[in-house]
Amino acid sequence: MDLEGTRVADDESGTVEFEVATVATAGVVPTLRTIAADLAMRQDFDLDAVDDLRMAVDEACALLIPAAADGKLTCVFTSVDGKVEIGVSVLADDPGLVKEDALGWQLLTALATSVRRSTVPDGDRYLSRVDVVRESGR
Amino acid sequence: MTRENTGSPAGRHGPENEGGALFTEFAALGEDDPKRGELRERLVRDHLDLVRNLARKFRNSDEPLEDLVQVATVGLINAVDRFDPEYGSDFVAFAVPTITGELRRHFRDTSWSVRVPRRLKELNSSIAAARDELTTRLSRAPKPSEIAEHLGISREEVHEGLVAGQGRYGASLDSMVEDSTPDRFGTPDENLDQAELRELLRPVVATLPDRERKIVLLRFGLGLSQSDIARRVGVSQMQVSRLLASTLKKLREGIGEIPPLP
Repeated sequence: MDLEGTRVADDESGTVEFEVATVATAGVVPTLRTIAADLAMRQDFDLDAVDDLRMAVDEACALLIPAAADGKLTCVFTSVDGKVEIGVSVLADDPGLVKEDALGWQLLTALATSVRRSTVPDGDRYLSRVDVVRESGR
Repeated sequence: MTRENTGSPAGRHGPENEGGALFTEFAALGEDDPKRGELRERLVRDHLDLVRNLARKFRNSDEPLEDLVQVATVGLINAVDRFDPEYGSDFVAFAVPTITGELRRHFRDTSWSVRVPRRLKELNSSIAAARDELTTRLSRAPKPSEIAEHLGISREEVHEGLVAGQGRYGASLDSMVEDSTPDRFGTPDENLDQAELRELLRPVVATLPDRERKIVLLRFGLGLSQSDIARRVGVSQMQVSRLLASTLKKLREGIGEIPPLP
């Protein structure tokens, strides 16, 4: 599996932030969701919140992976006090990527504390990103 | 062969008692006796109800009942072979632990899709039990720290056990993206006829209260079972069933569908 990680921050306050750059295939999703679940478990999230986060990563990846025009996926994990944030992004050919009526999007909003999507032009492509935030208590 | 009647005191249930006599006869037969196979089969067949009963007790949503009946039947055959009527006369009392033992072993050893060390499997099952117990006691899902305290183990061990649990059931790698086939060209969208329905439902689903919306999405979006949803949402399976029924009714009314005849 082609997976590369960069640690961005790991300071005294217990904040952990790192970026994983990988191929945009379904095969990497179990690894990504395990990383997210691990961060949540280390923060002592209750187990349903851990499961929710795991499913949310699945959904965010399922929304973006099929659109990755260059076959690459970037995932930023941030773990701060009582909160785990995951930002998944790909370069897509189409700007209107994640539609709010999609079932996957509805699921994401049900599973996460908050979800945000954004599309920023990048050359002749669009950087499409989904940010998932899950807090320990809801 | 005719069934022997031992004429023992009334009040004891029939087949086992009769079985007792058959077992004495079975035990008396030599290893190579041609009647042995026939009698063995009959003893096994006589207790198949017991097997089905026990298999049902162990039923969960992930293992097909037929498989459990098979496993339990192996346990029964072992029990028939090992039972010694000299030692105690009640075959059922001997067979039940043998059969449940076989079922437990099946769950512990063979129902995992990834080979995980036995220590972790046992850890995982005690964590699962603690999770159920604490969920009931706290009326919410427990935290890893609470499980660690409950079991008297370290957080790290809880962690390990939970991660090991992920190896219990496998899923196809394609399951994530199987509904997106970018290389297909010019084929009709299989979901097209659903599009209208989805558009109809979308505004109605959006008006549902958070919990109802979550339950509907978990049930029909992710296809979780009602008891899985019950555990996740923190209500009983009966409540999930009731909430689903009332939510579906709401959805039907919302889109103006004529309710089905009772």
